[in-house]
Amino acid sequence: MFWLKINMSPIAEVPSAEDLDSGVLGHVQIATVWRRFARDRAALVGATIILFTFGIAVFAPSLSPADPLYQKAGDRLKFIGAVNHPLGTDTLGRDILSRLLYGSRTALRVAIIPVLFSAVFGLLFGLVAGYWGGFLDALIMRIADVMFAFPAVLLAIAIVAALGPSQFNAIFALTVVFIPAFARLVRSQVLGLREQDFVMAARAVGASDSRIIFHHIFINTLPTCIVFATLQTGQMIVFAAAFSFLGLGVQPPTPDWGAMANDGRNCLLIAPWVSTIPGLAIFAVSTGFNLLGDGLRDALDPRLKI
Amino acid sequence: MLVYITHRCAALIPVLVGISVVVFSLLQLVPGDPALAMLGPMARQEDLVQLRVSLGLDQPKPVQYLKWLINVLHGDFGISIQQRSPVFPIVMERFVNTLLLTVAAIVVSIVVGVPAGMVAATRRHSIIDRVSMMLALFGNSMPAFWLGLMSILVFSLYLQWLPASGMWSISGPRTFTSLVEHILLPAVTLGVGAASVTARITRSSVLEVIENDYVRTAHAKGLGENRVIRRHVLSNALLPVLTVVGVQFGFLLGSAVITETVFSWPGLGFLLYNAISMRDYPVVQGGVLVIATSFVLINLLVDLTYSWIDPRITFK
Repeated sequence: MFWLKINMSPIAEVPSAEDLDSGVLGHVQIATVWRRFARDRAALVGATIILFTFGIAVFAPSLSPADPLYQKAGDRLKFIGAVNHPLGTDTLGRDILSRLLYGSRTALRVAIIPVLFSAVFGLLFGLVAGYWGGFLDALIMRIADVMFAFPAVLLAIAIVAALGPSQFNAIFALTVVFIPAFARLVRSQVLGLREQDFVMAARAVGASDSRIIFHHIFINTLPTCIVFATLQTGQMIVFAAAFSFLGLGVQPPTPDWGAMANDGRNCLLIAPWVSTIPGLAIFAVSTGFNLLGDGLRDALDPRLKI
Repeated sequence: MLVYITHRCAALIPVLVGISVVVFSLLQLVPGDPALAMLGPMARQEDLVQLRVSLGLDQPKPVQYLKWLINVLHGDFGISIQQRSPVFPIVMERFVNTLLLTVAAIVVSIVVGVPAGMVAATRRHSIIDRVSMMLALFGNSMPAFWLGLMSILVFSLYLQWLPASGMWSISGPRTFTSLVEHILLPAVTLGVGAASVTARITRSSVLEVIENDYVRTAHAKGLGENRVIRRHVLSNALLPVLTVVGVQFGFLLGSAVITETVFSWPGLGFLLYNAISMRDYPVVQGGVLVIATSFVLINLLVDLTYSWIDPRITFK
């Protein structure tokens, strides 16, 4: 009875009434998502790269063979594989491996903080605009329209140019310019969810606005937001590195991959590894987040178009 | 159609006003006294006073904004602190070069991305599909400045095939060949990320169109694969691609700052980079304003083209 088997299997995955009432993704749903995710080899590779990078960032002090800031004129531009310097040294004689390991901290910080903050503010504005509509919606969306009129990277650069180059200002600028994208995404989700039967049902039993927003709408925008935020982090790693490359982000001598790539510009021919190695690191971590984001999208909701 | 164009143009006005407010506010973001920030701590008192007056900093903010806006509308973007000449001609001269580079990058994006996406979609799950989507993923994760450095290393320094910087040879005539040689590396560097997005969009768009009944009908009535793809699939699948390419145009105008800096391309991005390090705020404002305005106009153009190609779209 083959057909019976096919018909039976989905029943086991239907969430119980309790799962639905709690409004939170039930354990059955999480298990389904996890099963889909675990089958996706590309996504697992992405997750591994990111976990590895986080591991490096946490254990940088114990992994580094040298002080990332220690300069030694006699050790300038040592080739890969030199004694005590497995990845060589840079123009100031600093150990590249140590700078690379410590640089992972900067890379993750400058990429993840803007994404987190723009997600929080974007969610807030998107929920308000989508749920209540009216004047607030119009106001928020018109401001978003104006910000969308600027290429995001350019607007961030202009803001940092005015405020002065620093890590804090770079994080601030990157946060600000990515809020509208989140807000617009959440708003469009809310507009769809607002009309769903379960929201009407909640309203019919007398649920308050805040209860509907947090227990029914917010929770349902989360999968999309998680996917978008993960993909955005992949882009942000590259943007943040570009900022440091242009001298607008993290300031020397803090180890940063973008700044390290910039350091190697003037000795590209005689010491190509100085620029190549940090660039590969940025590339790898960005690829990791993109793979993870694609995998999460396919696991959480394959119909999503992000 | 005329109604649609009028509506779209009218909708542009508040956005343009918004842009001008943001660009004007950039100067307000400068911590402390902008005049002091521009001229440095060694500046003479009378120079500072003169600059404050010429920037209008001694007046209330709304008056400052209106005066600035009126000047901008007359093509007066102020005086460059560094070059001591009007900003507008400097910005426009550089803008043409940036536009050239961006168009070249868009060409790269289309020429590489559309065929790659097409082939990937028509041979779904094949090796070609997997390889091209893998390359698209890599292209999307690649830092442009690093790709630029690597291409300089390989093609300019090692192989010595192409020049590493500038737009023309320092000596020698300004020929078309010389321009092509100079633009190739920056255009590819700038266009790779866009090409990977184009490839992904083309693939998903073609996959969607292929499912349609009219494609099955075309197959059923005995049309060859090539003809079905060309006449029935491609013409419908390219609509979303057009929108994405329009958005990319603006994105590339913005990211040109990075590519132009790597290749010393004499465009607006490189000018902005130098202006930022010199704290030449009028140039920064002028450059950002020109890019944002052209971004909006390009998007309008794309929307209009879209509705011209697909008459089902009307203004709601």
